Amino acid sequence: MFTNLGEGLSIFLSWEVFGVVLFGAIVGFVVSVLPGISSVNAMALLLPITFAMNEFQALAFLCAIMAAGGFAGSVTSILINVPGDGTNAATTLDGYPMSRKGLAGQALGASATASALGALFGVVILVLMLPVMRSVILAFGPPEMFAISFTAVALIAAVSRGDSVRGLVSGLFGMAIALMGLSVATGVYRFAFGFPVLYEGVPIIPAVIGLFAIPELYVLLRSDEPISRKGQPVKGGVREGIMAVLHRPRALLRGSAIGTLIGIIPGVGGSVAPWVAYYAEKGASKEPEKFGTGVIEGVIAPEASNDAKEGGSLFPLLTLGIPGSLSTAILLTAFLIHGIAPGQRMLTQGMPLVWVILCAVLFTNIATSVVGVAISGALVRMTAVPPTLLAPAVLSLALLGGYADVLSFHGVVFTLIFGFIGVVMMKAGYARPPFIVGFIMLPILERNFHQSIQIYRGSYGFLLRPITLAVLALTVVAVASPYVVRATKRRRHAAAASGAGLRPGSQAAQLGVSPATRAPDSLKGALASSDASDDDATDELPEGARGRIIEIAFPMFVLAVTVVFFIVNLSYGGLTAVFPRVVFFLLGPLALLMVIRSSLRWWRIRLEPLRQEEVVRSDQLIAAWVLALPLLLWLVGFYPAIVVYIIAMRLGLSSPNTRRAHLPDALLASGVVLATVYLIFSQLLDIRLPTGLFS
Amino acid sequence: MNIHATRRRSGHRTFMSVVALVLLLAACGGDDDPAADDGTTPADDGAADDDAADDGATAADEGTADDEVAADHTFQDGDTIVLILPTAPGGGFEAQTVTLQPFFEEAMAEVAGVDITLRIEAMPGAGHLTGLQFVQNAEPDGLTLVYEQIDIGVAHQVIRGEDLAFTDFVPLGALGVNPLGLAVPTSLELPSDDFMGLAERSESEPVLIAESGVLPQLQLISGILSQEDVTFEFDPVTVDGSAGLSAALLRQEVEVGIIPIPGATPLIEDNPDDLEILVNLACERSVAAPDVETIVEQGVPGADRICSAAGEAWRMVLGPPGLSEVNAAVLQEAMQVATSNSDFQDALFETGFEPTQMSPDDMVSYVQDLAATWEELSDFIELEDTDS
Repeated sequence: MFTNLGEGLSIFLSWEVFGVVLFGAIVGFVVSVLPGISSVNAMALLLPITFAMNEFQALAFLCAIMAAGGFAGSVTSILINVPGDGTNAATTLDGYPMSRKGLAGQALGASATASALGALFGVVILVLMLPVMRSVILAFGPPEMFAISFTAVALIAAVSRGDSVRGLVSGLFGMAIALMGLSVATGVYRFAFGFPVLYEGVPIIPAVIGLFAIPELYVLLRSDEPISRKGQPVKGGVREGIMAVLHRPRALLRGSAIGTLIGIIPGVGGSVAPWVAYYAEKGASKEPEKFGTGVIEGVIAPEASNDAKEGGSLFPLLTLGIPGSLSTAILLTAFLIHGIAPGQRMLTQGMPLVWVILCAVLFTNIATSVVGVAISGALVRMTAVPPTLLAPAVLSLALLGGYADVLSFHGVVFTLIFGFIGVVMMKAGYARPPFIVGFIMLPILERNFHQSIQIYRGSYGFLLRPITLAVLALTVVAVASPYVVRATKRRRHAAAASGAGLRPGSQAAQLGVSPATRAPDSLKGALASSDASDDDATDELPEGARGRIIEIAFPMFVLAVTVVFFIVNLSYGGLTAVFPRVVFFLLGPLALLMVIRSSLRWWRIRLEPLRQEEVVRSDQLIAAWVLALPLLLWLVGFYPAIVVYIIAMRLGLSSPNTRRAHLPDALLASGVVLATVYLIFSQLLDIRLPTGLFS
Repeated sequence: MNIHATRRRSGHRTFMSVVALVLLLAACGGDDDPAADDGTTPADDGAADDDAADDGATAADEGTADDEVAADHTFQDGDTIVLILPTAPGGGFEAQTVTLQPFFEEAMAEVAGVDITLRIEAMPGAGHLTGLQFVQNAEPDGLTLVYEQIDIGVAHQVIRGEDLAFTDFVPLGALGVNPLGLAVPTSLELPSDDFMGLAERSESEPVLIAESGVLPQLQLISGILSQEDVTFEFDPVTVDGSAGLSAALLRQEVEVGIIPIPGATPLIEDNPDDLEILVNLACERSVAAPDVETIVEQGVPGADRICSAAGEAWRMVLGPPGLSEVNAAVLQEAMQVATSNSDFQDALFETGFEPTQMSPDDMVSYVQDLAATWEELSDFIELEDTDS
């Protein structure tokens, strides 16, 4: 294994290879910082230029792009609540609240450090276990992957706090949307309603951008407050962020281990790892109720896992020639183009190349983190940018990201639709993270379930495979034990209270019997959190008149979607219909329950005075501005549209006496966005942008 | 090998001048080729093209009809021909067309005397349908083409009944073929080590076969065999692409995997004790695995139909319906020149794809025959209808 280390290092440090690694790192960093364009997109789009390189340059270049995305994607997650990459979505949960508190520097410092150390963890594990990993990977077939996916969903659900019904509705609604498109088992285009654009399902990047970015822009425009509420972001804090990671080794190790493990398993998908790491960290925390309000562990765990998974995902590629993720699938293409077949033979004959790959991954991760720390002071200033300037710039990039992901205007439409859904969910008091988790997990669950069923010729015998059985059993124990403990304690204390003359079930009888006190460590937090008033399954409950209506309307909409999908599902047969049926049977009653609960709540508080909302701009005005951009894009093309839009919004939403003063920064912002788009999208990635109706 | 060496433009001009002079002299010397008189394109002269491909000479070097074609086409210097990939960027489709790009540009200069740019543009969506429909509706001027795997286009038209007249597309050139094969674990016990052994074994229990994506190939094979009174029962396991297929085979979760032979050969060679290829389902032996017998050689009843309908995945460059004959002929000739270049063929083979060639007439026949066969056997294909 280590015999070719010296040779690999000397190749890596040669200027031909190190130069392309630096270039790849810069490209990956810049591209991943922009919302919507992920490092995987960049790898795919830049693959052709590697054909002219030798194998060391080509693989090192692509690995550098891949590795640079880990930390870079978290920058906008933290600063503006817009994930730079789908895999950084979990970082928004606590990263952005930290920015709102003026702690953006600390969050960026923690993210950079966790990313670098997580990557180091993943690569070290890869090096140490490479010789023996083949048999481990082969031990995880579809049944085992189904069990692990199921466990992830169950544990995430178990540690989600607060109003669990709202969380379930949100998660199951995400699953229902993910059902649209090709059924992997039968080849049927499900729930496409005759629209070919839905044949491949809803693309994840526009969905994530829409759900996270547009609601945030809505909030900013509505309140007209910059992200850092005090108006001036707290400078510094980066060192505190770095030290916070070093003082929380458990969070770092947990995140890194989860990332590596999930990365190793082919087909589970890199987007899952940060979510599992986040919720695992929350479950293990003594103060889980603080998650979602801006705690540093909520940044450390997902970011460590996000970068550690890259090392993990290289396992199946290098040992078996099986790509475990989209990015490694592109690496496999690069291998093949250069006449190299990754696998056992390559490991015995081509170890210098493996070392070059590992060096590129490790170097890029550390380098981008160092650079990120160095420039975070400047990045933090973004949180003080006025909303009328930030919103049009970010919306332009978000819609462009949606476009670039699917290379079609449909991406823009998807982004807007999910933006609308995100705003409605936020106003109705439904959290968006469970939606994304459900959206991501459903295809993984369904695919592995179907494959397991097919392999076992229609029987459920796959559930009895040793690893599958063990994982599922542990899941049941982990999820059920706190409830069992709680029930036992209740009975015991009820008996004691009865002996003391207290009424069973009274508050006094239950005093001091917090279910978290004897629950397993991993779930203590979850149980403690169930008592918490604030929760992450619920956004703040709406109190305004319109909010109260939307609170009822949203579950009604979900119910209507469920009914329509359920009826359509009746026309499908066999495996095509199995998973949808399960989702609809769960979602329908829960949505109905929420309609009833929201209606009762409305009835109960109907006489209470409405809370006066502090808003600067009306919903209609904001909606008009948001919709104006795609209309402009469609009419005049991208470049004129963003220039006009940024300037128009900046000036149009300013008071008449400040317009002249705002013109220079509007011109500057439009120029910066224009230059960025031109250089990155048009020149580097060679993406043909919409040119407008009249071109 | 650097296949993307800088184009030697000055060298080109010199070469083109020589070619033009030769063609001028040839034209002055008269044309005895009746094909040129009756307006048929040089592409129709399949035999001559094949010969040219074999010895590496260009059609322009020897053809006398080509100069007429070259004179009438509408391509101009500075034109950009957009080659649509109906797939996401970063995969085999892109690797193959990027490999083609410089050779095609050179060939267009050679054949038509124009300096064009071939722009490769990914247009994914709807299982290739978005890109195909875009080209179907494009101006038929030869500046918008598509690179597609023929069975996928045929499946959209014949099986799914989409709004696509794929059989009206104009085939311009075949890059190569992916011969399919059946890979089995070496531990699999069969009455005989060939396809008929597998069919015989399937009589006692359906064979568990992994396929990457939902493909009609297995159903077609089973259908054709049933017409020959041969039983071939199978239970499909749909896995995720070639990666899922490889994993399923290595884990021995399935008894058979239907594989693209060139792409899967490294896996087989990497695991000689675990996996082997039982049969090549294509009509001819694979360059990647020359020792593996074809289904025809194994004497399977109906093998001729099986191999052409379900054993080969051809990928071609096609123009939109209505493409003018003159421009089509130029593009076909350029494709012929580009794909017969041995450097191109070597580079293409490295992408896991077998370079072979097909004359324009054969390409048209292949597409039409495939569509007709699938139409005829549609009863055996049990893909459920797409919802509407």
